[in-house]
Amino acid sequence: MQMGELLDAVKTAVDADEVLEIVRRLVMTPSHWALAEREKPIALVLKNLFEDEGIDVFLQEVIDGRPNVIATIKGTGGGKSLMFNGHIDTVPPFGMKDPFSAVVENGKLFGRGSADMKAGVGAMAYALIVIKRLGIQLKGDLVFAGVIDEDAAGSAGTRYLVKNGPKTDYAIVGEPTNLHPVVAHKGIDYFEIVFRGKSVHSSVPENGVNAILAAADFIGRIERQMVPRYAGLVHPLVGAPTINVGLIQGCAQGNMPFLLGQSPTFAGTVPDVCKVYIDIRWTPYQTIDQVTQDVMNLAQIVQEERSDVTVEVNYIPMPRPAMEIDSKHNLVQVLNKHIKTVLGSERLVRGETYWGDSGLLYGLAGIPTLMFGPGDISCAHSDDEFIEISQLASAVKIYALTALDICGHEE
Amino acid sequence: MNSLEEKVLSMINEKEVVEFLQQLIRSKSTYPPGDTREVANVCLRKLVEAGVEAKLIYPDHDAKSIWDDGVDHNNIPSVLGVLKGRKEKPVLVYNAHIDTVRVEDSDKWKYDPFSGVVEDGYIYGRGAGDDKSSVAAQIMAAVALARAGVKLNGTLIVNPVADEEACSYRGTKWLRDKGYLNPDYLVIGEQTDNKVAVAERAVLWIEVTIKGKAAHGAMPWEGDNAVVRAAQFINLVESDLVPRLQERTHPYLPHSTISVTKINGGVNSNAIPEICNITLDRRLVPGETKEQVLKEINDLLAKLADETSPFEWELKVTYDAGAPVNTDPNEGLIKTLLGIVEDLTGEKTNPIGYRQGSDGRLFADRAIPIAIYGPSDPAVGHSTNERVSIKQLVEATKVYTLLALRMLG
Repeated sequence: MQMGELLDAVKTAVDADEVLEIVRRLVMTPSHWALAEREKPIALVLKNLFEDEGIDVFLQEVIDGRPNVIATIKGTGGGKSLMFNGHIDTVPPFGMKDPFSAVVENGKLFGRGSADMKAGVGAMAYALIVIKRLGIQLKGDLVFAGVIDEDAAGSAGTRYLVKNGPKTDYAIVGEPTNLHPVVAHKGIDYFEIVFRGKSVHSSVPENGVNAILAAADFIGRIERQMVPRYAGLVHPLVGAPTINVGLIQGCAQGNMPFLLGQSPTFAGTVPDVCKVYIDIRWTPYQTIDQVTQDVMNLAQIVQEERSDVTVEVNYIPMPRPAMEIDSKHNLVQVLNKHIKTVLGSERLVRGETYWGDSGLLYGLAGIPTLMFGPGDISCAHSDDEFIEISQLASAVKIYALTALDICGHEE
Repeated sequence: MNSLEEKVLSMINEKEVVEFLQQLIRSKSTYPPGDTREVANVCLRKLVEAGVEAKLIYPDHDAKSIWDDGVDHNNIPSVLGVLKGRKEKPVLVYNAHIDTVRVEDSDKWKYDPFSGVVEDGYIYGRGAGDDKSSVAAQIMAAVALARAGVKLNGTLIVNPVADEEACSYRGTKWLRDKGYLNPDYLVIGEQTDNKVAVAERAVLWIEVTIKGKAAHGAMPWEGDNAVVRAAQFINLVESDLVPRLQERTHPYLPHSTISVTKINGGVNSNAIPEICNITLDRRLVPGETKEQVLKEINDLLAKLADETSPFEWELKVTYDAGAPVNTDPNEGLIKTLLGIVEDLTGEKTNPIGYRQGSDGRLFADRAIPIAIYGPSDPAVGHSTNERVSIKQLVEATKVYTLLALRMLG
């Protein structure tokens, strides 16, 4: 088929009502972390959907019986392989009214996960179905990976893929980007910094070493030294790296339960331990090793100024790397070409403030990856989450055409 | 020493004093839960048998501790013994606490901490020093006076009290607030190694709540990080306040201090903390007041807001142990006490400061002389193999006896 014919075939094959029903069914199948069954029910819905179409599919158990759903349209060889990656979990409903009824109103579909990211998951799954129904023989493999645990903040699903496969040449993560190609986002890493001193009765503080004073000194240095320096490291798409001192807990170790509210307040002892937790959002210009070194250097200064304190920097080993793909990369070019075909014009590439599994595919597996999907991130996790229904069919067409282009196909 | 004094002192029997303290130690009253029913009854019986009017007093429901410890008020009676004299005033109050701290390390003790074993002139057990030896000395003094049939020119109140180890809100503080204790002279029995203490620092626990503005961790510039504010404040405490407090000294006491003892702020590393709570332990020397201390902290926070940008905070006093004790060593009570100690030991002693905390602070804002005096070394209180020497115990009993005779003679 020629490009024009292919386009017409895809356009005809995409049934807007059908993709809406698929997304509605996904929304009606809760898959948040407060449920005992977690992602199992939605994984089965997807598995059945692919099986009914004769597409190869299997459940890949990740942890505690929680599976990824992997569907594959095998290529004949000689083409690039492409993964559509989307998390199948959501955050809990929180205060949302009617989170699982998938109400349709004024061109919008409401519900938990409608934007983040069951619309993307449904559209990507439906793109495979469309290609399968058209009977087009791909050259490279097209893989759908519905992954667990992204909104639960562990990303165990994609971490499992990175380690055990399947891996592809390229990947598209269907996060809600409002149908814009997102080519960069920050990395996020957490550090625990532990300050240890010596407890004594608080009537004679000079005889002890107050761990909280050292921690406050460290935080002061973050503000005065690290924050201004980082503010200068601006990346054109994602901005400057940020540091957040998100949590501090300090007291005499003997009083630890007091912090947890298990016992009443006791304040008569100089604290011998204080823990500070920081969140650093770094840009694709940086590496996690550099960032770690920055934190260590600052801790070292406090250690030198306060020789009676011991400072320990612990990297919390759950890497969430930054992602960046060159705007001239074939994947971006091809995607934008089909955005133009379907929506009438190309869309500006942009960076995002939020993180997605694209960081793992790019940063850990080295797969050129971008984010692209229907829906608006600003309503994600909120009590008013929805998806513009008109975006669904457009997304499917763009996904399908991009896959045909990237994977290549037999004439 | 006159013949009356000698007659009254002859009523003090070392064996009886030792046995009484042993009985107090065996009446376990560790806090938590601080159950004083048994030990209070032992005190009551001893006083009543000698002819001293005495009763148990239970805190009522409006007595509220700073701890939410679930202690039943029916389990924490204090004792009020009254030895009436020819006239009501002046009133001399002897106060010492009948509850103790817990034993966390009974395997490390030479003897069962609740058996009151005597060895080489010492009585061992939890409370032997802190504070049952003072309780025993005060009660046995009243008993000696009653047995001798002494009619004092005033009232002697003996007040073995509960709840001291739990911060006294259901003990001395409550009795004071309810009008049970209106001393003209006050002696708190606490471990001073039988020296006369005239001064003591006060304690305030202050919770500082710093309010920022929450924001998502990806957009820290949209928020105002309360933990960062708290760190700035603590840095200011260390660089600005601590050196100033070191200059506030007292001849008998450590200087004024502040300790940041707890901090807790934020929920997750990925959100901008809205609230940070800091607890300050502030020790006040005589001359410092609660109002001044709170103002000083407020001023420091205001200075920080001035130098950075406006933010909100709250100060809350979570524990207030009264005011610093600062009795003039030339007061009659102190001179009399020092004189008695010299008469009994043959050695001249100087006043000292009390380094720990006592219920004396609860009366420090009244214009009355307060002394802190009792047997045993404060270093053994709350610790393993706590003990008191029998010699000091008996000496303290005699001191308390003579003090009542001389102050209310």
